[in-house]
Amino acid sequence: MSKKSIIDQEFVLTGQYLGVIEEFLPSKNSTYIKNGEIYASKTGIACIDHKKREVEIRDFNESERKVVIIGDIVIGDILFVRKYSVGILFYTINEKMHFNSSYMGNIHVSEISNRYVEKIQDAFQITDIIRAKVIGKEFTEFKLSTVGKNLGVIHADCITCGTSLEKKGVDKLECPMCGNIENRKLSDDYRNVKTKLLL
Amino acid sequence: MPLIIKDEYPKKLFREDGKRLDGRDKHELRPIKMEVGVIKNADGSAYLEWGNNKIFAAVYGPRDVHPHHLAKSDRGILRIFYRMATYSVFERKRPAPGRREKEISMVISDCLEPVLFLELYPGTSFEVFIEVIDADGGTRCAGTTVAALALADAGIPMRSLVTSVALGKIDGEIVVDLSGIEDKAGQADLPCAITWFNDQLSLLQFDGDMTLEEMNKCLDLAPDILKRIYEMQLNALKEKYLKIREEVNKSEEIATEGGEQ
Repeated sequence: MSKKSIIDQEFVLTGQYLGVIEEFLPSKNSTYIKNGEIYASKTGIACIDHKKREVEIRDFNESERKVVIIGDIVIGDILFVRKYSVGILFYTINEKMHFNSSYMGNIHVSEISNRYVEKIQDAFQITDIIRAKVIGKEFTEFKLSTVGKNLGVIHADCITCGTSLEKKGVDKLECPMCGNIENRKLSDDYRNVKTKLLL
Repeated sequence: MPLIIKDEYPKKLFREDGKRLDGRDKHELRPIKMEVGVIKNADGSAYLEWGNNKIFAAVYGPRDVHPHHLAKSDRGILRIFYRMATYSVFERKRPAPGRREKEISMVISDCLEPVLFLELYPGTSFEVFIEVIDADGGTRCAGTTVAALALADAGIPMRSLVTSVALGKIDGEIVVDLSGIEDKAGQADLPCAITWFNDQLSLLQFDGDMTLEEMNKCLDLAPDILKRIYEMQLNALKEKYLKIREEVNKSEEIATEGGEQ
């Protein structure tokens, strides 16, 4: 029995034979292995990365993707603050809202900033809206990171009176009502976000 | 006292020229038409016309489970909602899901589960809504076929497609793809489904009476028939991509023409 291996940019159907495992490294989300042979588990265009020797199937639904993968930029709000980490609930993957499914994320204190963060309260408070990057997955919770210029708090309220805070210098916020000064790890577009969010 | 009217069926289910009542041969399928991507708001969808059956299937997922206590921490769950419209049968059907619908939903869910990689999506659910708009025999087979197609259209990782067809016995003869009247007046009905990644039966139900030899004969006949429907499923999936590619080529042509001017 001789089956033909696929070539790059070829259209493949669900369940189609792609090649043997000696030829390619199969991607977990779009292919599967049976008896040492690789089969497609999606319909789409086969993309072969010749440097990594990896085969992957891409479909036209990429912008509609609801499954979070490592490297995505997400926007969510802080649910709770622990001693060394914060819990985040997010609905937005790569600037697209998904109201039907929410995901839980976690930021460890070491992943907040390049600088030294002594207490979590110096960087985040409950109800802050933040932008973060997915760096890993642990069971059902995603590990997030806010290291970077464009990542961090994009909207924050005063903890005493609830008014939206205004930016005052690097990582410093001031309340226009009560004059309360707070510390956050800010994103460079704090309160000036271009993507449309329902705040 | 309630008036009981018995359904009257024709005494013979074969015509004098040896064909069936709707003019088909013994091993001939009803005309089948499939289309994918018909419902915009769903993640994936498919439409199937199988003789007089008209069925829509829509897929949502992977997404959060509601009610939340149904969620499994180690794998996703597959929920099938097979529903018949009130106007789908001759007499008005009560709209609430009855015993039959719940059972068929369960049967289809068991049939489709082996092809999905549910362990990749812990704590989520895949929901498939199968709406029977018009029913004329073999809706569970048609429902399974169209649900598999909608799942593939949604881009959910699958080992392969699933295809289903009913075989049976009418007037002592083994036939393929029973219509509504043959289902009721015939002697036996044998719906079966196949998963193509291992060529094994995923669904096998039986009612009526049939000898073991006849049953074996049916099962020997099934793969060829199922293969024909499988080709149609693959063509339906392919057509959507060809359509998108055509549109892309057209828009590119317009863009290049505009640039030259």
